[in-house]
Amino acid sequence: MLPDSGHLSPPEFNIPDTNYTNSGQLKVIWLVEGEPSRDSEYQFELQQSMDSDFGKSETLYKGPDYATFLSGLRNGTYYYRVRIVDHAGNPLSDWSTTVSMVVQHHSLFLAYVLLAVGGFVFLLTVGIVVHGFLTTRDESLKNANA
Amino acid sequence: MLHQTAILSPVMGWILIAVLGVLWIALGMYWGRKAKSMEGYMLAGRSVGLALGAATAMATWVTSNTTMLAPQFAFELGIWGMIAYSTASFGLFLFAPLAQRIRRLMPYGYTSGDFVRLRYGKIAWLIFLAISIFYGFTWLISMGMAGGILMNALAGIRYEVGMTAILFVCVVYTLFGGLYAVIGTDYIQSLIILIGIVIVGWGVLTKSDMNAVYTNLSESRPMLLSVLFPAAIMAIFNNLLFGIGEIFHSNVWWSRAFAMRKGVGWKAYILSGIFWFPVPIAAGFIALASGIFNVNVSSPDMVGPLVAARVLGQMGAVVVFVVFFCSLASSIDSLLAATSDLITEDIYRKMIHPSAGEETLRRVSSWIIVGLGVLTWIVCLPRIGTLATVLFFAGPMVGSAIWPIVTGLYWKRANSTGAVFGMLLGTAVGLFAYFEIGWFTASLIGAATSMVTVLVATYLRPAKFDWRRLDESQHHALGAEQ
Repeated sequence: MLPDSGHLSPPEFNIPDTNYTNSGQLKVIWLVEGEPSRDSEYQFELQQSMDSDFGKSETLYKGPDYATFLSGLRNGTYYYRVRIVDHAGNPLSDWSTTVSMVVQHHSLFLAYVLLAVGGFVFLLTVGIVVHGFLTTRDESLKNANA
Repeated sequence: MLHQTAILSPVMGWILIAVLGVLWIALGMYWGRKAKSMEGYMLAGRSVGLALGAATAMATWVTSNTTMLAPQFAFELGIWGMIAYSTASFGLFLFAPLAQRIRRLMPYGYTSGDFVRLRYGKIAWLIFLAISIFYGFTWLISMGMAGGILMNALAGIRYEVGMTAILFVCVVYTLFGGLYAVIGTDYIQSLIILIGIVIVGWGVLTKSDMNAVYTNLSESRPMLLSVLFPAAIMAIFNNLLFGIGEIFHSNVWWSRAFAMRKGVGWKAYILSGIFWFPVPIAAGFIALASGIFNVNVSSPDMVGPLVAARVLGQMGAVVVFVVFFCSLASSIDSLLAATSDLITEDIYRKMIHPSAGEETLRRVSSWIIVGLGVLTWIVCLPRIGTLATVLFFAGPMVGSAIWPIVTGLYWKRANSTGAVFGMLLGTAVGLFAYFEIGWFTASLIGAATSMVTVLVATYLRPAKFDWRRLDESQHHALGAEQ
């Protein structure tokens, strides 16, 4: 139930202390006071910005869930904040404390090296199977003709 | 922790679980009546034909790994991830000639462990058993988790309860029917999966605007469209080699090679690979379209079911529930049966009680199936990670088994030193990569390390293996010759 004042404590993020990803992915989880409920009368609004003061921001999610999964982010530092809103989008709490996430992808050099190694292992494996299949098939034919 | 709103009501979820559960258990008991001997129970009488053979291979490979992990790959790694996942079909294609070779060299073999023991000796066999049982267990855990996650996300059923329900159903029908039940239910499950995927894929495709999907991705998840996405580039051959390693070493696939009639195996594996190949592409596309349907995804392994159910509405969610339940069941039953066979044959009969009769072995096998189910349930309870991180933890181990298996089947010169150190070093270096670089590199690095080790050992200490030693029915004759 909403309190009469309509003003709630802001959600809190539950993100690992190591705010760093090298694959451009991040699961953002937030918590509120008390037990989470599916039948909540309120929703959440999650914003992302590349400015710590959210001068230019975008709303990533507005709805009743308590988490969202982000992927495909480019290199950079991203800032997040979340608040409680009603179904019309009116704020029911202040913004949460801002959290930041640094995205720094693996080097392309490492990726190309592993691509080349993987391709080499795969081709040699295919070579052994094909060669083995052809030679053992011949063996069985010879045995059959013997 | 509750993060996501459900689409179906819990009552509807329970009705579906009850109907599907009763159906599979009843069919399992019906087919199980055929399993009169241990060979019937473990290997379906070695008489499985092409249609059943192809269907069981395809259905087993369309698992949570495909229906839930392929969308996760696309959602996390983009276009490259989608393609990377579909390359897992190469494992089926490459196993086709191996299945033929296995059937020819070991006409009376039971497990992949039998092969490693006879080919490389006891030390390699013990290491292989540890790898294979650990992998089978990891796969079981990932699917038990997937069942719980699925029922929670689609029907709001608590994770622990949903996970328990699917494990219980699969344990019961595998217990009663053995491989007959597994292959029989796989056939029906593969039909349901194929029809369901066509319905879901068609539904999503007709409601998707490709331009909108592209625009949405380029604005909100730009790296998913990038050809220069480092993690995705690394994942391409990692996933391919993981798939090859899974199929080459796992008793799930070997038991099917032994169970199929002579000459059927290679055709069945080629056919199943062809049927399987487009499934991850379709499943992956569903994930990439999540943005335009405003589907919030709180856990990447749920992106496929959530988008499909949201786009297709309540009826669609029912179809999705049925398809995913079937895909999970078809793999859980296979793993329970194959892992139980491995433990019964390789550990109980070979190490503990060599003179055990059929009745004893059947009883032991049943207890192992129950034990595996209980152990999986215990480990699944805390939901320790996403499906990808759990499953790919076994990546270095299965990757390191590729070369010992494939060279062991085709090269007389391959030796036990190469196999032992290939598996040990491949696992160690691959696990280092798992923790230091990421799960999307571990199988690749494990396989590469194992390959180099096997090549060096074969060059330095070439063996001269007599292929007849793989056929245990000839051992008496061979002993007389010597």
